[in-house]
Amino acid sequence: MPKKALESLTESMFYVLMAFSVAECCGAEAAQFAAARTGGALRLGPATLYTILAKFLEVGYLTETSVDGRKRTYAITAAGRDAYAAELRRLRRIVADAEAAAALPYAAKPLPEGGGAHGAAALAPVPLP
Amino acid sequence: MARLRWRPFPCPDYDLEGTESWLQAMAAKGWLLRESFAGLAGFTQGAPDAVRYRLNATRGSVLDGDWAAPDGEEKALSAAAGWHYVCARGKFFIYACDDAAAPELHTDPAVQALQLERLRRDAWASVGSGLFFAAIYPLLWLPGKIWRIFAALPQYLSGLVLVSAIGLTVALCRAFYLWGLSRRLRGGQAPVRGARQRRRGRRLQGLQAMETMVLLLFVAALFARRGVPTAQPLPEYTDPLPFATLADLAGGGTVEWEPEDRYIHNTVTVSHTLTAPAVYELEQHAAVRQEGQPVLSGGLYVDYYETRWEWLAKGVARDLRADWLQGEHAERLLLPGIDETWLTPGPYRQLLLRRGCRVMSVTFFTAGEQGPTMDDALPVFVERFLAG
Repeated sequence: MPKKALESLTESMFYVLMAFSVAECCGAEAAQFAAARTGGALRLGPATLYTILAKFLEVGYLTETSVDGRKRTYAITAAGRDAYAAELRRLRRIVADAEAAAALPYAAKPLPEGGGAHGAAALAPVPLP
Repeated sequence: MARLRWRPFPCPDYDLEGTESWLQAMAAKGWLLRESFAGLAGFTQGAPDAVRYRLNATRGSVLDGDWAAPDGEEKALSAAAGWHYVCARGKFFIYACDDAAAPELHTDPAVQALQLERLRRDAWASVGSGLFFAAIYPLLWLPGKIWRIFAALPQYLSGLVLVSAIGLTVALCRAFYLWGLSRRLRGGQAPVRGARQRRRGRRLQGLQAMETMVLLLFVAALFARRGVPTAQPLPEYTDPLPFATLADLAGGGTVEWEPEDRYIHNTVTVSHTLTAPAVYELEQHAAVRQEGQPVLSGGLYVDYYETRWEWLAKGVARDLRADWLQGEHAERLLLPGIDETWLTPGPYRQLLLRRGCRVMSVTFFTAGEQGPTMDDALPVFVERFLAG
């Protein structure tokens, strides 16, 4: 029985899950995918990679589909897709908030309590894509 | 393969930063790690090199030890990234990398913290079980015995108590170290390696070495049976006793034992502990004759403690009252020269006396109508106790 889902995903975890959301693959291929998507900015250390794989198997985000010698292939599960989608929504919200904030004129004074003219009242919720 | 030179690890196995720092410093001097066995690191001598060593927590069960090895996938992924597996130590696999351009073994501190989760849980479980046996278990199961055990604990068992205390301290150090490290990792900080970590590791290792040493001394004392009190047959015991026996209660005479009781129900155990210079346990079942006539036939049980401190004697007296006088409505008597006197009713009357650091509990009974009652015997017990 899978253990409790992870509370949040780190950048490394997110990219690994992203790799498996595209196709079934092995750990090394997932690491290559992450490095390629980030232009080499995210290089997954081997211990980080197999800790993530082990954790994802434990919580039921991945399932092992085949073993060929030392190479193991994994596929994302429905729980994994849900976790990936939830994290994606969270990141989109952050980006949308940041873009909305960037569109506001800069005020030199610190924000009063509640955000003032630039706070929650002034910012209409940004519809998520 | 070149001859191995063995050196003890200067840090406990869980001290990831200390161990990594030490191994890197050794490699910089030309000593390259090859094997690990029972707290020893096997090195071969080579050219000084900038080798990175990293510890990676095992995924096996808590029972996995040095003999465990990483699985094929783990080895293959590490090798592809420039890291090779060297050996296992405790619950960690040790990897090495001499390629400065290779990525770190762990590139995400938060994921490394996740990997240490089980070790952290195990460490706190050790603290919990240690606390249970050190504090909760005695409170639950040993009421009426704690002070007596403390006073009468044979010296070799004192070693075991010391081992347990050091063991609990070691467990706490391990739990707090892993907790602190995980907290830093979750905050995005990578492990720190340097001279400071090596020094801290040595202190932790010193504590573990002390635990092992005391444990070995305890085992040696156990095999040598040093400090283990043994019951001696009362008929052959010639040293004076600091309390009254059946002969004293009868006012003198010849003590006779049933042949089958001579060495079984007539014994005295004398011990000297760190907290009590003299502890006596006496069991006597006999008849006393004067001029050929039986004057007393009965039994006597005495527990006598002479402790180093009065507070301990008070504790022992409390224990004896809670245990021996359990369920009895003991009556407190005020006798000159005695700090505490308690006497229970019933056919097997029990007496408790305490004066300063000395405590004595007595159970005395006679067979049939022969001999004095406890009321008759009380002044004799008190007189001998005061004189003792």
